[in-house]
Order: sequence, then structure tokens, then C-alpha cells
Amino acid sequence: SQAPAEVEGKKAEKPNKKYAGVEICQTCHAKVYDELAKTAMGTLFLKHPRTATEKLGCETCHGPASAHVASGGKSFAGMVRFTKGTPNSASERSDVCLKCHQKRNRLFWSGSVHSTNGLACTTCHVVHTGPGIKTRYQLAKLTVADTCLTCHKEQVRAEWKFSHHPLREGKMNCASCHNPHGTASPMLVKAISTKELCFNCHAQYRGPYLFQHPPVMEDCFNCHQPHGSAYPALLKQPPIRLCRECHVAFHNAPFRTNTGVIRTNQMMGSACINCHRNIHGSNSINGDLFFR
Amino acid sequence: SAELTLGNYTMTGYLQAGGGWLSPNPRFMNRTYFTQYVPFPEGALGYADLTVKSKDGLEYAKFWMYQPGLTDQDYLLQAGKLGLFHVQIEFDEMQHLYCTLNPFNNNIGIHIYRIRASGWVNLTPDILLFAENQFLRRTGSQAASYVSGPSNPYNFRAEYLRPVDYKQNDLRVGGEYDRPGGQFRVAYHHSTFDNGNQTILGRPGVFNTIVSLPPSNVANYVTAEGAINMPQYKTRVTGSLTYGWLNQNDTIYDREYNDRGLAGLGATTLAAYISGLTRPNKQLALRYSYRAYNYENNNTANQVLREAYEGDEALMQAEQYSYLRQTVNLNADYKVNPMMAVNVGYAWHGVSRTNGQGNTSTNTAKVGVRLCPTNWMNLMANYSYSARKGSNYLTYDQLEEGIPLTYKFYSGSNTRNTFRLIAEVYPVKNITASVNCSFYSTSYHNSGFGLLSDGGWSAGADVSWRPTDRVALSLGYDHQYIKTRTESIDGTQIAGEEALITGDAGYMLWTSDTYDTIFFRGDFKVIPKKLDFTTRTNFSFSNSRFHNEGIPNLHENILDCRSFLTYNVNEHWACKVGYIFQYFNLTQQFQRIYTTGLRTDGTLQNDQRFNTLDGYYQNATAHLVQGFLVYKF
Repeated sequence: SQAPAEVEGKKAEKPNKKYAGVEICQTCHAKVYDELAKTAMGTLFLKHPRTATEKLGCETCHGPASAHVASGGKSFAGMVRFTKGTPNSASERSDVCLKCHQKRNRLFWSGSVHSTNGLACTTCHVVHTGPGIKTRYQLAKLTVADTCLTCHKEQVRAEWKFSHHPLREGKMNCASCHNPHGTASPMLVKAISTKELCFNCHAQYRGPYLFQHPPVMEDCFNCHQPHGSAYPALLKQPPIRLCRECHVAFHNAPFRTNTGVIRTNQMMGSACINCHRNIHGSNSINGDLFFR
Repeated sequence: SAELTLGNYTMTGYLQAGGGWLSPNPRFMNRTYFTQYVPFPEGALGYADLTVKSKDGLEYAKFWMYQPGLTDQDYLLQAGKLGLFHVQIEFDEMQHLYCTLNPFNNNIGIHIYRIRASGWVNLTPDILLFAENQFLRRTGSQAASYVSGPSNPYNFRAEYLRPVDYKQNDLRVGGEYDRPGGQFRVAYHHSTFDNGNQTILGRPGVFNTIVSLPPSNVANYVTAEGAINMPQYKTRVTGSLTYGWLNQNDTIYDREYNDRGLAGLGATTLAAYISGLTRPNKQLALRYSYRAYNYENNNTANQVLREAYEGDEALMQAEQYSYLRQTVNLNADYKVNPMMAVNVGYAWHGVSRTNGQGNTSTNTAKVGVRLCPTNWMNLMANYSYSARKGSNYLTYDQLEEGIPLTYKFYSGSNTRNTFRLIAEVYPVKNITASVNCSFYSTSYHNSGFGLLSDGGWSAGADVSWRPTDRVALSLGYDHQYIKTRTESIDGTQIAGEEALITGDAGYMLWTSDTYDTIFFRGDFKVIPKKLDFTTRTNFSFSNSRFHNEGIPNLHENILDCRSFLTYNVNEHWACKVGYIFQYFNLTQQFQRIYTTGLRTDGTLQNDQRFNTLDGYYQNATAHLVQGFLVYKF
């Protein structure tokens, strides 16, 4: 991208006779032209091109259109099309966008899980058509969640579970934790690991502690289900069952007193964490069992 | 909307003001579940979304405001010049109310203030500088508890409110160099957490009840990453390297609040990633990557720490270890023809831990297919099989006293099958439907105890239909089933404890959860350009069964319906009325015990151990009516 100064020192390329010129596009595609003009890209391409490439307007992305114009709109030879049923592959379509948009959040797009699963930039974004134009980042659907819902129903619907991050309340969205364009870390998270991702907002659990709890030290998702769950604090299971996945031998196993009555303090509320309160780690000299 | 001209600038957007009324009925009902993160939108309500642009369209400024004065208020200010710079700052609040149902306190929870500022500038067409800062402030209280006495330590536990006064700040700055042949970026991230030094925790004056706070700490990360395009090899290579160092130097206390010195603890992390994408021809795409994450914990020489472990070398080794995670991914994607693409992949994931805490090596084979049999259908399915081999982790028979039993959950051997299908159809121009289904099953071999198997499936469908350009409908349903099986210890004496009876009255502990979500959305242009009606309904219900008479099952129902009618008086003015209905119901026997004090066997439970501040949300319904006036520029 280039600062919108004049095209210094760069001889504007003589328009190649293959290019028809943006004015001709306007004659048949006036509505699309008007929509594009309202977007940031359209403002630069159509009114303040900074490079010879941007000066091509529509043909910057769609490619030379002289054959298309000559055939009265029937032929698309040499052009890239983004509509449904296009013959151009997802990677061909994405390569058009990546000519300018390959930095910042899109540095790791090529080879990312979305790019190699047949998704193109225009699967989630719109350039000049549809209601998504007014959304932030020009999404194809009105919200981030709606955009992800097409393929990730289970995760998006989890925002309606009992215990959830504040997505349905509008305080977060999928892009608060994930970079859909690709990352160097697993699960497209916006940090070097899933653990460091959680520390972006919950640094109180970062430690290191005097007494560490190994599953906390390794990965928050050993115990928590980040998208939503039926149990408090996004736990994967109720504490009474979750802790038993590793700690099989502690306490009088059936949580009963000698007279057979259920030990409610070990089963209610936070169950195990009623006593082992500092379960993420303890900084007390007497914190070996995470009481303190 | 008609723009407002201000000299060389134009303004678009809208201002919206009005109010909401929360019906007091049903009476005396605590509706905190609905206000868990945000308050009810009641009382005076305001919204704004204003954008100012220069006539040439290059300069812009935007102001966005949401519900000023409420405890979830949000203000965003942006400004910039296209292609040159962009700056923004946002202030917002929210809350997190943990529960309402307990005898002592209502609305235990914290309030969160958040300030986020960010910006970037293009110094030259190839060089960009960026900076981001997030400040989080948490105040309020959380449920906490302390256990008194060394002599008979575990027989008395009491709940109290832990004061919360946390501040966290994350600053990221960096620069990026971008050429058509590749990009290069360096960034520095400085993160601090301050626990507000609430030193005295526990019942003042009550002997040995001091409980430590989450410690204040500092983390620094330096990152260098980039990408190179090598057209001659039809390849793009990307890489990233991050080094991080963490420090925690809080004062260490014992349970009698004696100062035992500064923690002086630290750790370092190193994350490395390199990946390549090669497209030998139009059909074939080869993807290969290596990722490593190393966590180095070298605290075992720390004197305060050694004193804390009181010579329990086994426990110290089990908790203060380092680990290295590595992943290799190889993937080939081949377009058989414009309608079909197949991909095959292999991944190796290894975790090695020091101090003999177990290594794992996981091999995964993947196969997938993408089909576009017609120009109105997209299908994608993939299946993977992985086998994890755990080695030299402590199994039950090698147990020494004091060591938490094995954490085989993430270091034992297991096999996992995963299948996923995504189908999207758009048979006619105005109908789109999509179907998802996934299945996974993990079994932990030669595990003996603990988690033995964990599996589930989910299926969902949604359809959107535009019968006319005045009506847009969408309907969706999603079902999820999760089941885990854990085996507890079988009547064996452990470290001098009395004989243990297995499980919750049984060897095997089954837990099964089902989640169902239904959503409906309707947008109607009742009178085009004049009268619009929108409605949204989300209904989710879950059933959790523990297959055990000692632990009651858990059922949750959440319903949220919102409908709004908007009348556009003219191109500037509009009025809007809305109705919101919310319903929450959690049926769980413990809630009954909790509210009535009755034990499962019907007798009254009244001793102190019964009370826990981590209570429940009360079942509730809420009716809200809203009215607004909207001015559009």
C-alpha cells in the first residue's frame, strides 16, 4: 500500500490495450460502481489511485476486460470472477487480494487451515455488493458470529450455553481470540499458545507460582471449554468429575460421611474448589494442597 | 441517509435515544443470570454512530457510543487517512456476577473497566509502525474460602469474600516491512498484572487463615516473523520466532501472615514456527510446517520455593518441571477437477517433560474431500485418526506418597477418531442452507484409572430464505452430545487413608451432556422504506446426567426473544419500539438443597459446611419494553 501522495518517480504505465478502463465498466455496472465508491478501497481506486495498478480500478482485481467489453459482456477471457459458480479457484481469487493485503493480520494466510480448505477472501468478505458493505471489515454477513456460523455451528451456538464468554452480550466476538487469516500458533489463536491467549485477559493465572498445578501450567483447556458449557467457569465437567480424571484416589471416594450422608461441601457449589480454592496455583508457603 | 455537510466535511450516521422498562413481575425474583455480564437495558438509553468524512473521502473520523451511563457503556473514537494512518481508542465496562443464591450475599461479582487504544502509520509505502494497548481494571469480590488449623486441618472450612482490585496492562508495539516479494515484522509485548496488594485475606484475627492472592507478575515477549515469496519454486515460506520471559516477585506469606521473603520466581518461553506452501501446478498444493513451544521453569534452585516444599523432592519435581511441545504437519491438497478436491495429511505432535513427568508422541493421519458437484452445493468432509503413546509417566503402581496421582489425562496413551462434515447448498437464488456434523471418540488405553474414554458428536443445520425482497427468514438447530467415562480407585488403601469405597457408589463414573440450541430470525419490510419489523429468538437447553444417585442431574433452559418495530417518519426521523423476553431455569437437586436446606435423603442440613458463597443463579423470567427516537444524518 502506498501513501496517497502523487505517484512519485513511477512512470504511469501506458494503459495496456487489453485493459478497457474503469469508465467503461460504469456503463453496465453503475450500481456496483456506486457501492464500490463508498468503500475505502473504492475511494482510493476510483478517486485517489496511488499506483498504476490502483489506477486500473475494477480491472485491478478482475483483470483485463477488453475481451469482455468487446463481446458485449459474454466473454470473461483472462478475467477473475468472484460470483457463485466461478471457474476461478479459491486460491486464484485469494491471490488477487493478497497482491495488496498480505501483511498485518494476513501474513500467515497462505498455507493456513482456511486457505487450504477451499476458502477464498470473498467467502467471508464482500468488496462492493451486499449489506455487509456497512459492516466493519466488509463481512459477507452482518456479524462476525454469522460469518463463522456457516462452518462452525457447534462453537458459535455454544455462546448460548449456561456458562459462556460474553459473546452474546456483545462484549467479545470470535475475532477477539482467533485470527481467521492464519497464525503461527495452533487453533488460529492470537497468541503464541492457547495458554498465552487466555493471559491476554486473565493474567492473574500466569504465575509462575510457588506451588504449580501442572494442568494449569500446560494448557487452560485441560479443564476449561472456552466456547461454553453447562458448568460454572466454563469447566468441561462438574469439578466433582473433572478432578477425578486425574486424581482418582483422594478423599473418601463416595463423598459420604461414616453415617452415609453426602458431604455437601465436597459436592456443592464448586465442590473440590470449595476447599482447594487456589486451584490455579498457590503463592503461600502452606499452599501445597492449594488451600491457601 | 441524507448527509450533513460541515464545510469540507460530510457527516453520516444516526443518534438514538429512548428508554427501557423492566416489568417488576414476577415479583421478588433475582434475575442476575440475565445480568451476569451486562445490566438490563432499562432506564434512559442512548446510542450514536457518527462518521465524518472529508469531501475527497480520504480523511475520516468516527464516534460510536453504546448505552452511556449503564454499567456496560461503550465509547469508540476512530480517526485516520486512507492508506496513511489510523488511530482509535475505546472505553467500555462490563460486569461478571458469579451467583445470587446464598444466605449471606447477593450479587457476588466483579466490575471490569477496559481501555483499548491502537493505531498504525505508513511511514513509507513499505514500512508500517503499529502500537496497541489494553488496560483492564477489575474491582469487586469473589467467593473464597480458607481452611483453619494445622492440627486438624480439614474439618472446618468457611467462606468469605475475597476483595478483588486487579489491574492488567498489555502494550504491543512493532513495525512491519512489506515488499511484493515478502514481509518482515518485529514486535514487543509487555504485560503486567497487579493484584492490588490486598495482603490480609482470611478472617482477620482468626488463627492461621491467610490465603494467597493470584500473584502480581510481569511478562515480556519479543517476536520476529516474516514471509518470503519464491515464485521460481512456486512457494511461499512463513516463519515466526518469539522469546518470552516471565517474572513473579510477590511477598510470600505463611498461613499466620509471617513474611517469608520475595518469590523471585521466573520462567521463559520460546515459540518457533516455520511453514511453507508450494503449488507445483494449478491442481496441487503442498503445505508443510514445524511448530515448537518450550516452557522453561528453572525455579527448583529458589530458596523460598525449596523451603515451601519442605524437602518433598518428589512433589517439587512433579510440579516444577519444564516441557517442550513440537508439531510437524504435512498436507497435500489436489484438485481432481473443478468439482472435486482431495487432501491427505500427516501430523506428529510430541510433548517431552523434564523431571520424569512423562512424554507423549502422537501420530495423526488425515484425509479429506471437497465437492462442488453443482454450482449451488459445497461439501467438505474430513476424517482423522490419531494414536498417542505416553511414556515414562508415573502410573498408579509407581505412586509414592504425596504425589498427586498420575495426570495421564494428558500424558497417557490414547487413540482418537474425528470426523467432520460441512455442507452448504443454495438451490435457488434466495435460499441458503448449511449442515454441519462432527464426531469424535477418544479412548485412553492401558490407563487403569482416571479418564478412560471421552467422545461425542454434534449436528446442526440452518436455512436462510428470502421469499421476497421484503422478507428475510432464518432458522437453525444444533444438537451436541458429549460423554466421558472415568474409573475411580477400587478399595485400596492409599498412604494410610482409610479404605476407599470406589467411585460415587460405583466403579465407573459416567458423565453425559446434551446441548440443544434453536434460533429463529425474521426481518420484514412491512411497508417498504416506512415500517420494518425484526425479531430474534434463541432457545438453548441442556441436560447433564451423572448416572449416579449421589450426584443429582442438571438441566438448564435459556430463552431470549427480542422484537423491534421501526417506523421511518421521514428520511431523518424514525421511532422504534421493542419487547424483550428472557427466561432462565436451572433444575438441579443441589439447588433445592441449597434453597431449602434439605439433604438428598430429606433430612435438614444446617451445618456451616453446607454454605458456599459459590451458589447458583435463581430461576427467573424478565419482560422488557423499550422505545426510541432515531435521528439519521
